[in-house]
Amino acid sequence: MKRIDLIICGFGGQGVIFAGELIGRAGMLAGMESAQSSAYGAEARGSACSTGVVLSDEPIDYPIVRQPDILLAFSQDGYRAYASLVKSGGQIFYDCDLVRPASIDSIEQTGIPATAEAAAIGNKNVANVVMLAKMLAATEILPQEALIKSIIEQSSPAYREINLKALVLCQLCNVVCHPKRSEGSRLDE
Amino acid sequence: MSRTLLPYLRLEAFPTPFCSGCGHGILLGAVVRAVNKAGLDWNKLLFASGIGCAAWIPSPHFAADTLHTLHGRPIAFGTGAYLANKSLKVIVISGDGDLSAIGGNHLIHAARRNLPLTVICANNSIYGMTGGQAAPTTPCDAFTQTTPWAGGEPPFDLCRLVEGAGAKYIARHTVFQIRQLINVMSKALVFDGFSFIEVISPCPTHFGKLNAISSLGDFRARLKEIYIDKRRLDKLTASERQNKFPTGELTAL
Amino acid sequence: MRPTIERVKSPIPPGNYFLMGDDAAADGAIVAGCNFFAGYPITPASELMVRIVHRLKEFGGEFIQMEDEIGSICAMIGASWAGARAMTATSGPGFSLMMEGIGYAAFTETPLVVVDIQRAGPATGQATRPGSGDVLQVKYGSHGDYEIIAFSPWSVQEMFDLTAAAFNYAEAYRVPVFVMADESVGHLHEKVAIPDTVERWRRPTQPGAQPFDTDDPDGVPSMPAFGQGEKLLITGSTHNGLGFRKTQDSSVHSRLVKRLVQKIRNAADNIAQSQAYYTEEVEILFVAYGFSARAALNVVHNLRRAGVKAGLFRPITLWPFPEKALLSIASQARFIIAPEMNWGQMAREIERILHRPVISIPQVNGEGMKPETIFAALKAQSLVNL
Repeated sequence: MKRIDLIICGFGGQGVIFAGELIGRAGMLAGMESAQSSAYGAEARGSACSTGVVLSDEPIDYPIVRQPDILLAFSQDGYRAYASLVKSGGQIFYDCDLVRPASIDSIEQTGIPATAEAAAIGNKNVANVVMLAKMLAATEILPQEALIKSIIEQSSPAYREINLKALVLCQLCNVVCHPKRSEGSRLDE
Repeated sequence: MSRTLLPYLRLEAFPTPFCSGCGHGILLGAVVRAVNKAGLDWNKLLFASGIGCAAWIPSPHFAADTLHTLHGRPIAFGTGAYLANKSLKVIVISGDGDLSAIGGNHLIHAARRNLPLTVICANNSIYGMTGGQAAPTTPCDAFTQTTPWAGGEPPFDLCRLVEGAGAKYIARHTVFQIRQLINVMSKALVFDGFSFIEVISPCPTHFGKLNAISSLGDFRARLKEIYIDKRRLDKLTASERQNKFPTGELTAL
Repeated sequence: MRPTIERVKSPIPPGNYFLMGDDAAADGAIVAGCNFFAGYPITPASELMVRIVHRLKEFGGEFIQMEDEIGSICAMIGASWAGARAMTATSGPGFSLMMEGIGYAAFTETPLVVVDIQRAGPATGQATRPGSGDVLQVKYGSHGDYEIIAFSPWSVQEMFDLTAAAFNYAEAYRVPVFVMADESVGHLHEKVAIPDTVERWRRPTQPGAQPFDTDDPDGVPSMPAFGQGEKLLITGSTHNGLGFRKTQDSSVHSRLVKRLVQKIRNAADNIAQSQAYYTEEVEILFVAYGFSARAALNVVHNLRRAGVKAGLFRPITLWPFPEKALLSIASQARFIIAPEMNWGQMAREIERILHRPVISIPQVNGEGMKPETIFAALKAQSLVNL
């Protein structure tokens, strides 16, 4: 059975939960089983939040992520909370302007200036899509068409176009985004 | 009662369970006459009532759809029924304790919401069915089982309460003012919005006994002193107006 | 009397949707023909109410936000007697407030659907966090004797399916029906397949028949609606078949209460639903419902991979409990294990059914049941050595 567990973490207002829904829906659209769950505080904005996504070829028994294969971190607090849970051989993608990574054995860590790239694209609120696009390009856990369809279905009309723009620019055109890859490197905190 | 009104009653439910001298029987007859005066279709009426003596006025006596609900909740039940079938005319008949104590929240929100419910509050200023305890409408100087030395809490003025909550049609009469009562009720029943009728009804069994009101005549005289036509009341001085309530059509917007 | 059954096209376009549990319950209600919702905001059930505001506008129906949950349940009862398919959604504190109205609905045989997205109680507890602490309250929370039907969804698909089914059972048996979800499933996103057509059962109605008594063996009388000229007499006091209050008549009271209880108990085999996993040969049998069953199934998968004969029995209806199905499976199991997100509420019911000890695994930390909790308990009992 192929089961991939993801966690996306950050603050309320960064589109963390939305990103989880996008990837979960993309999984469904790609014909996989998928489940997405969230944890967030009572305040709607500004407090820590995270979402877990499970993608699987088979029916998902337990839908909550405990040890992710992949972590996307948009905040230092989130990184601190979840980085140590990532499975050995797993991958961490972090917003390199918001997170200073620690050194972790046998985890591949990739810094992505997602918020900065999003600002360059025209709206820093699409940092979540930038991060997903980069993650998908690096991991190929889902076909990119699934994420495109997911964005079309899930986005509010106001954000549909810029979300798609962010995705297409990031996946097809490395000219706009310049991820600082730090494969296998050990970074000191 | 006039024979022409008999088809609107469930005769097998009579005689009513009301005590001798209770005003609720008069109110029962007045409601039937007001409905007919307003020209309403009895098949499209829903009488909702709560718990207490007054809640037994429509249920089971009226030959219409009747919903005898939980204590304090007839307005909430009636709100749902009206929304689900807007061809229904929902008439809530219940007591002062039911509508203004345990059900007070539903009363003010119904007034605010302004759905076309007519709420008829039979106010006898006491909990009759449970033996005579103080109600939110009991005057400060009245004796009840739970204010055995009088000196209770200040009472609600229910008409002003629902006025503050936004009610657009409000009237008050005692059961001794039968023609006026039928008149305002018939107007309330066709009012386009929330309407509230406070009906002052004597309870000789409990209120009368505990307060040494020895006859219905004395009771009527007492109510006549407290409940005064609003035009007459307006002419009184502030000190004369104390502990008196206006009767008549108080609000008609 | 029997309900009338019709098959209709789903008003929501069929297909696969990626939905939150709360949203799926709202859509299940719409597909089942829900046309009345009265509610009051409460975490974690508010999303359902917000969803159905739009759905009722889109597909036709009345929505009202009441002044409290007492008002909500009462408005639903009024609406149901006016012919509506009525529902609400709530959670712990709101559910507690509804208890008097639920008893009234059971006693007046009023069909309605309540979705309880359970949270960690008692009192305000942990408002955003899951629990399953209302599963006995749903059956015993109102005073007096009565029976209800309660479902326990474990997935977002079941939030849809069981909420839709709840309307049919409510109508067929003239009884309040509950979907006892919890925050874990209510806020989970998963795929929901919406079918092309659905069955809608409608309350039996025979003009002139007694609305509160029947000699029909199924015990479900005719239910007319307001405004049909039936001159309905509805009361929460003890009543005869026509609805007249009979508060001093012992035979009327016992006949009524017995019928209300028996109409559900006698139909338990038709109502009760369950699923069994890996129970062909089973030594360690988990009995788990709702979200806890997903953790239990995960444990079962891991145990089976390790060669342990573990299995899962999952009641889909908590009330009536699928007793016969459990009895037939449990006889061969050496250990019965009941993990729950409460302090062992259903474990005692399972013990009552099986007449043998049940190992309860309670988890009351405001989190969804974890496979680790179950494993730790199995180790503590020396049942597994992994």
